[in-house]
Amino acid sequence: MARALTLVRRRLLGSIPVLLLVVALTFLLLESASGDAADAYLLSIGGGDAAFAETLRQAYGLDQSVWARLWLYVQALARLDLGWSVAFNRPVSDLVLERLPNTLLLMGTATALSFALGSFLGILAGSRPGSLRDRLLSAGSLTLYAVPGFWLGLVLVIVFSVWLRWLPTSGLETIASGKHGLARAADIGRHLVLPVGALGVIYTALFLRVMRSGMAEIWERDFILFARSRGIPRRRILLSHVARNALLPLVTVLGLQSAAMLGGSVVIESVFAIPGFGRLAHEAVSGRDAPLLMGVILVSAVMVIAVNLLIDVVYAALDPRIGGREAGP
Amino acid sequence: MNFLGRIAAAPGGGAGLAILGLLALAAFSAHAFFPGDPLRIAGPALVPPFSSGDFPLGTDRLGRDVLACLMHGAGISLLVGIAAAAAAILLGVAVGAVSGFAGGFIDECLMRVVETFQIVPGFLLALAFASVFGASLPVIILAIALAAWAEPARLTRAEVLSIREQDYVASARALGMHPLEIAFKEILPNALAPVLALAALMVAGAILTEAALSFLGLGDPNVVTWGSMIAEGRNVIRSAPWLSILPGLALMLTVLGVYLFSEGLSHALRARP
Amino acid sequence: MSVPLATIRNLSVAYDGETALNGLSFDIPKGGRLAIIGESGSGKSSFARALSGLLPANAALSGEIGWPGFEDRQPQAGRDLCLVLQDPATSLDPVMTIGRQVAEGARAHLGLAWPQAMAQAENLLARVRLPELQRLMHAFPHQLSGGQRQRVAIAAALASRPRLLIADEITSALDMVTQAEIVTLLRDLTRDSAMTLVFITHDIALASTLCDRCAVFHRGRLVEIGPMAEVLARPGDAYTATLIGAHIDLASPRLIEHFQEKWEPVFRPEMRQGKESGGER
Repeated sequence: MARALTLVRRRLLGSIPVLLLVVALTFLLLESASGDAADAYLLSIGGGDAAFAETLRQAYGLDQSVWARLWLYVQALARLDLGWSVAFNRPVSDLVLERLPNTLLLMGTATALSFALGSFLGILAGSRPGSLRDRLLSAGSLTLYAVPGFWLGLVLVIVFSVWLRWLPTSGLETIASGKHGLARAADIGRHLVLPVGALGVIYTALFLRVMRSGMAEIWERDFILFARSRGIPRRRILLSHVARNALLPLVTVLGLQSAAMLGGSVVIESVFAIPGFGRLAHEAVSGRDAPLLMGVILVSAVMVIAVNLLIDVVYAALDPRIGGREAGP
Repeated sequence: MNFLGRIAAAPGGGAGLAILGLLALAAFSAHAFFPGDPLRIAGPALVPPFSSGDFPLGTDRLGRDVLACLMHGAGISLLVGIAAAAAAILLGVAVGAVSGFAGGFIDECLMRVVETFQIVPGFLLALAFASVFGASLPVIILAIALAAWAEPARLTRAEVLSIREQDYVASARALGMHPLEIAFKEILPNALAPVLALAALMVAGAILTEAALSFLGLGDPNVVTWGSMIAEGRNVIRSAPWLSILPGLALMLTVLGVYLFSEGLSHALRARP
Repeated sequence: MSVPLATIRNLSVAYDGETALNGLSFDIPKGGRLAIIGESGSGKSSFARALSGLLPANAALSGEIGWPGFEDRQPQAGRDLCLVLQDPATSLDPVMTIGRQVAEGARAHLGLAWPQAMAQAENLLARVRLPELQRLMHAFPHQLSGGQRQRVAIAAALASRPRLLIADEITSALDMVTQAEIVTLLRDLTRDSAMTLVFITHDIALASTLCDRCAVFHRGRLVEIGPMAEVLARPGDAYTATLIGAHIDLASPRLIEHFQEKWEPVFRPEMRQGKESGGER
């Protein structure tokens, strides 16, 4: 436990300069846009004269230099203030807090299910590399991994919502259904099936492939030959040695993929009209809402750091070789 | 056997080459078969596929020829995919090599920047970039490259660092070779092999990112892309689902072709003595 | 001589058409310590894997290995015989505790439940003279030195009480002192039990301190076999003579005996404290 804490502390300190770089680079990128937040606001309320725009600029501090405003932004960040959304006319942090749980629910469910299914199928494929079963699963997963997630979402909607009418097409729950407790959970569950399916199929294919190739490599190791020479039953070699060791690269990939997964949620949430964090990014872009987009990018960077931190702790728990000097005899 | 031959002989490599060859053929012959703007109205709206000799794959709700759009779109997908991957690799290799050779403070700074680009979801970055600079093909290509260069940078740096320590580099140094000569003749060519193996996967990623961007309406509005076709078909998804399904199938086939090619490529690279 | 443990007749092994072993014929007597001597590429590792039935998939085997010592049935890897590998850094699972790795063999072959198997593992680790058993049981391979890991591997191999132990270059990754310790351990283990040892090495000097018989391999062929002392004194083959000439200048076996005398009585606690692995390789 002590080494996990050390790890967390070191990682947290290391992530501060990186986060500041994220802030600075994103700020400068969004500054390069033609037109500023005042223009965007005027556009969203249907226009206004130059004097009103000037008042707005003063109110938002837009009349100052880029660097002064960046400094102001960083100061506000230190107070956990993410600024004001122009398009929604609300604090960015409120919007983020409102939307984040939906995305975490969606991504968490999709990741957990696909991790379980993908590693299971990966073990099936990797139990005998080169066998017919392995070749079928590998070819199938390669094909599924080539499927664009948003398109798969549309196809699922066509099949299960339009043709079969089994599942709802969009949203996270039935609006104004008045449901509570278990009934509401079931309703959310029904809404989650298709988006989780669209995301999950692709992750499953990915996890399957990583698990399978990791196992194919482990089978060639000396300690597997030694286990076979000691007559350890094949099933135990497969699960306790091969699959157990192949779990390590799989966990690493989970961390590496977390940024890509978060990016993927933007499209999937747009397809299924899920009021989540990813869709907020799309709405920020459509509404030319720079403070909101800035907030979304910053919060997603924090999330990626947090996920990787979690992954590091899990990895350290799975691999005794990581920082384990004090644990030995 | 030449290199392409080795890729074709590798498992999956042949199929990958065939798919990519077909796509390239479709892209290059698009102007011959369907001259002019594929986005112009060519006939009646919503002709279903396989029902009309004039429009083998039917028309969309504005009466545009789906087959013409698909073939023109193939070129855009391949162009964006290859250009974005190439730009990302150029940038990544340059930064990674400088970082690996320079070491010290420069290395530390550059790696912080690389890390920054790794923790911001690439798709969000591309989205922001495209929205700031306006959706046009060069911007889209740059946006995707910007979202993808961190990985080749890291890989190049790691390769440079490990090759620097190897015996043949030390002996080149002992022989009095100029450091720049060592860098360009001994280290970089060897560091590039794993980056090359990554290249094909980056093309696939870039094609998918472009499709997702244009699906969200951030593609170049003046050219036809598969992503925008899927988005356009979405409006009539109940009555004419094929309008979304067909370009998606083309997209999937393309990405699958790139993956298969990449497997063949890494097989051929591994087999090289 | 009584019934041999194994009879090898015209044994050949080839990998993808390349011959590794070519027409071997000899017997392995029961209960002895047989040295297989050869340089790298002599086919001695292929022989080890052929004998233990663990040839890789691309290997083609011809000829036959008979097992009169196992009542002519095919011996089972683990239960009847066990192969210990060269590199102690890679032959143990890096993420499984030492205790479990030794216990899993006892569990598989002696039908023990986990707690009994773990107790048995502790006995085995004591038998290979490893110290601080309580901590060792819960340690991981990277926390041990090369010599300790090889002892653990030997303990794991003994878990099923095999009648044949095949040691494939198990000392070549270790330093001189540790080599001598492992050789002493192997001698004691085979002296106390009816276990047969096939000790494969490139080091004829080391083998001469341990084994009573000696077979010399050269380019996949058997060039000489006989009692150790005879082969050493009167090599019947020019190649063997070269090997002996290259390795034994009469000082080196004595040097090893010197180490044995010095280190055997006081067991050297070689547990390292917080050092990176690979120190003695």
